[in-house]
Amino acid sequence: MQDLLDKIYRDNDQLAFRQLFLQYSDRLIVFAASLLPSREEAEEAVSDVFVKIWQNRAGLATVRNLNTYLYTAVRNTACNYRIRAGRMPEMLTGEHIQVTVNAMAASPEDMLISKENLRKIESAINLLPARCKLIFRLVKEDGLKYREVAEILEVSINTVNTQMAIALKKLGEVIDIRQHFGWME
Amino acid sequence: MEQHERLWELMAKRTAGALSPAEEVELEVLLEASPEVARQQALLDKIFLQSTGKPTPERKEMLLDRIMGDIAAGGSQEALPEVTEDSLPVRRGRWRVMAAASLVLLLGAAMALYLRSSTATNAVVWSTVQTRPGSKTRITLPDGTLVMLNAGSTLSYPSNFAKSGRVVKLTGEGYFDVTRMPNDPFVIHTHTVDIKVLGTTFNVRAYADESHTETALISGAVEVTVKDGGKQHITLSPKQKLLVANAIADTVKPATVARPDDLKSLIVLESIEKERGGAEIAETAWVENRFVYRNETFLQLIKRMERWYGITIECHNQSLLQTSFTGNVQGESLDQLLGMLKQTKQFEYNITAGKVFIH
Repeated sequence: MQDLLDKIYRDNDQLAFRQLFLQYSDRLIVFAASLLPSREEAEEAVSDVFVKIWQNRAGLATVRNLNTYLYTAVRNTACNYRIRAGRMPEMLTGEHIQVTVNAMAASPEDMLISKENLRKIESAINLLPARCKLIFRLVKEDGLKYREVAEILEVSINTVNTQMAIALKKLGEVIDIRQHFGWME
Repeated sequence: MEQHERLWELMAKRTAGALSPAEEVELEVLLEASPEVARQQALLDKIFLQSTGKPTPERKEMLLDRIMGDIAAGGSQEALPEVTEDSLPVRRGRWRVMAAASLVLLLGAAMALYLRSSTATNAVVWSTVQTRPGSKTRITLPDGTLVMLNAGSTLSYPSNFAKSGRVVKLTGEGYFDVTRMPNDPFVIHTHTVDIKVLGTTFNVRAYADESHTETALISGAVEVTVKDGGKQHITLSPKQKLLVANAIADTVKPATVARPDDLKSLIVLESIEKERGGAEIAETAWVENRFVYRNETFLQLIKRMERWYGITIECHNQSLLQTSFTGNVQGESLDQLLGMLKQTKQFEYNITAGKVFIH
């Protein structure tokens, strides 16, 4: 990843820049969509961020953590959009980000997760409060670290941990264990 | 109750990979006390999330085009490095080292004079960018198409490029990222094949001193027309490559007494294979400044090393020349590469005055 950044700011390498976009745009657009009312605006915000990244590419030399850099840039841009549109810059409105859940089909025991349970988990995730869901998503889906999530959302690490715990507890409650292990007993 | 809250907190930390060794032990003890929760969480661990509403690859390409458009329109001081008829390309960093040895020949003006004196009308000026052995360069064409030009290669394009259809001529190797224009195909002429594309990423290798012209498609679609051999059209799918023998006229003679390595067919369609243990593919490794060789004879390898490092290599050992090598290096010096090769097959070499002697 650092290699990619080096190429962008040192060599003005457009290919590396395209690669950076292709690697990050998915999750950044989903993230932006959880802060803005429409997907079009989310795409626009992420595009804006990348135009600025290229224009100020010399600044990439000082980037320590690419995750927090990109997500924070998207968050700030989304914030500005909201202010421009006369809305409060309050974050996390987007309950409309829907999540689907899949079982990793890596080993036989993974097959133990029944369709019924997957469906239950999925709807439970989608029913989580917006902030709780976003934090859970950023950790579980985007693989961000607590410290990164805390920095991006400007909350404490403790808050991130608390929200994760709430999410796991709620999701655990909906899983019907007997349905899984009944056949073994 | 208190204990349960602690359990969730630790589970949350574990999900984020933020558990200390001491906490790990603590969690283990807590989970042992509540097997039901342990099972639920084990199942939760095995799921992964996928947000709906992610952009499709096409949509992403579109956004990317828009971003590049915004960048290009964003004022002249932000202009991207580009080869034009009156300015040398801007190169930075690692490229500068290689660029020092390179020379970009701009033949446009001379060509224009020549054409004017010979035809007097409708003179089209061809801009030519040439890389010497040991150097590479990056070019942005007027339509935004990006070309990386490998060592010892030549790319020409007409002055009225965008208006009269997008046409370029290539000798050598280039990696193309063609700007999508549905109604305006992009055509690359090489000695052996013509390649027609709409908007896509691919690599063309058309060195005159190699046996085949290779078109390797990364994404999108291209149509290759073989000039000889009955103007055959072949459409490539992503992750396919097409090899066309460079001297069809010579080799197609009936009842050729073929040596084993001549048995390679004249036109071959293969799929591009990922390199062992990686997502990278060998065909475009050079763009990343990696020198990859797969089952290549020393003879072929010498030609490529000469281009890559901009030197001359002399070797008269016939059996060594026919020996095959496989491997890859990144950023190694010629000395280091030769040192590696030497370990596989015993040989000695010395370097004097920019020339390598192998014995």
